[in-house]
Amino acid sequence: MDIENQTPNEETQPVKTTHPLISPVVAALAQKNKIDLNQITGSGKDGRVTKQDVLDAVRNGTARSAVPAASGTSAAVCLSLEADLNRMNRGLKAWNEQQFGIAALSPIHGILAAVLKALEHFPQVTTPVDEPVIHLVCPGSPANALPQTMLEEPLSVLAGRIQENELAADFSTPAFIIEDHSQTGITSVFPALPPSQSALLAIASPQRRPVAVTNTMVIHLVVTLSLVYDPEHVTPSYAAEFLTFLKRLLKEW
Amino acid sequence: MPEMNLIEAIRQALDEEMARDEAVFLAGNDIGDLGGLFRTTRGLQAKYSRGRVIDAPLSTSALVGLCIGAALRGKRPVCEIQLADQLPLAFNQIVNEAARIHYRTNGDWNVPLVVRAPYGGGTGGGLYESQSPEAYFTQVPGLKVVIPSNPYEAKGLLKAAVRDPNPVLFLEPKYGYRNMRGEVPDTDYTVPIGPAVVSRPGRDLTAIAYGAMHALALQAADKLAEEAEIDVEVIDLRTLYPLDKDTLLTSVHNTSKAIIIHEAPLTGGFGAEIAAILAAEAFASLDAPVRRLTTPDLPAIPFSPTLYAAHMLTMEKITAAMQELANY
Repeated sequence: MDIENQTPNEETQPVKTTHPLISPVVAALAQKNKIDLNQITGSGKDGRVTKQDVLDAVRNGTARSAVPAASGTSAAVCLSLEADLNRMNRGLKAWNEQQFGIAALSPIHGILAAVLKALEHFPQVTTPVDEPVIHLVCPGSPANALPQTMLEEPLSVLAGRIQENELAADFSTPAFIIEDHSQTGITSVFPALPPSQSALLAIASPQRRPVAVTNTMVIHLVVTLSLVYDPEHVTPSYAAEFLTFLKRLLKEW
Repeated sequence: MPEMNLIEAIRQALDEEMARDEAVFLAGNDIGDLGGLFRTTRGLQAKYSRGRVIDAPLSTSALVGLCIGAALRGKRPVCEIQLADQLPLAFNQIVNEAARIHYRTNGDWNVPLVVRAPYGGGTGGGLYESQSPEAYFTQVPGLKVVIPSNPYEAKGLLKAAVRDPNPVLFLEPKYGYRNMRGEVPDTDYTVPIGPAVVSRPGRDLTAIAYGAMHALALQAADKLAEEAEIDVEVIDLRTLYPLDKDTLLTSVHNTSKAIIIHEAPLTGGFGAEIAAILAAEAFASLDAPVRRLTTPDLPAIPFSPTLYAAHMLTMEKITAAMQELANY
């Protein structure tokens, strides 16, 4: 094999950068947080990007790497768990009665709000772009379109994003997909991950089921949440942390 | 709590150890009636005896050799070398004998010896009275090298050195003999040999220093905090060998920048060892090259005040170097 004349492939080529020097800690932080150093104006000597510059970018959610979309060629992994919605449901009912006197918000709206909150804490579940695109897919029914003007943060944000995307299932660009089966009566969903996507969260239909609470069986509203992800872009531990964080948000509403 | 200078703290440590343990004795040139070149032992011969505060002949090698022999016979000698510049005269005794005997005898024999020596500049001593030879001795496993940075440490570390079962080279920053003042408990306490201490917490960079340079580093850090909002963490090494790597690494992992400050020349100085450790064990945390701020590699320390001022590190030079590193 003529090793000397081999052309290095893309993976082995060094990352090119316009910055004069990248220190070890800056390189490590950028890699860990998927930060594109070329998007940062360095505050150090000769415009060098400093550790503090990277930490600021992480904190502000800027300069995230425009990494290629998932190839769709690797096996998708699915994690699933059951979340207790009882507390959330009571909260929504109280809010509805206080605000409108009618059931304006259903559990799916609360779940979507919790998903948004969880994504703020685990942004890398979405494909790393500055403003993650979220697609809401409602198989069989568009009944869960959100009444934007009736909602406060963060639901209004979600409503805005969904309306911007017109609930369209346009998967040509990387996004985070939420598949809403809450109106279908299906209690467990294990969907396929569309090509070019990093992760998809499926929300099954909430059900009232017996739940053990401090050795007593009670009837609570629960829902099965399934996260399908591409392990090339989301690590298993990160995906599991995201899902358990979401479960805790819902339970402790 | 009484306040005292470095000389008084050292004298109190010696006094207390001699009172505590009759095996402790002092030996050195002119340490009796005169109280030593810097008067650190003044009054001790009168208080104890000529047999426990010995005016030794003017042979540094013989002085250390005498103390090694006494140590092997169960005594706890503290020998004073008038100036660290004279340590090379006793190099063989310290390095080839005192430091090796415990290992050489498979642990059968110990040399509980303290060699005290004033080091560094600041007194206009020129070539033969200003050197900082610590790095010669930090490459000698079996020999502990201790340098206090204030009177409190001087007393506690010296008492710990006297009680140590193996030889300790105790280098005293003579610039601080009368300039360093601080509160010193008049109780029996020791400062353990080994651990370094974070004397000023900070987040922007780590300044590592010892002896007289530590005090200047603290002043520079305070100045930068006040005038440039640069938060410097200052580490006082206290012990050069064995070195407390954990404290250094923990600090540099947090600040990602390090500057080492010492009076000794650059090449082969102790800062080189620290820089190598940080490069090897904190590489992934570094946000700038490790900086060493030292005196220049000159064959002789200038006697001329003008040249000496240019040669010696000052608070202003340290401040400028810290600021440059912070802005890197």
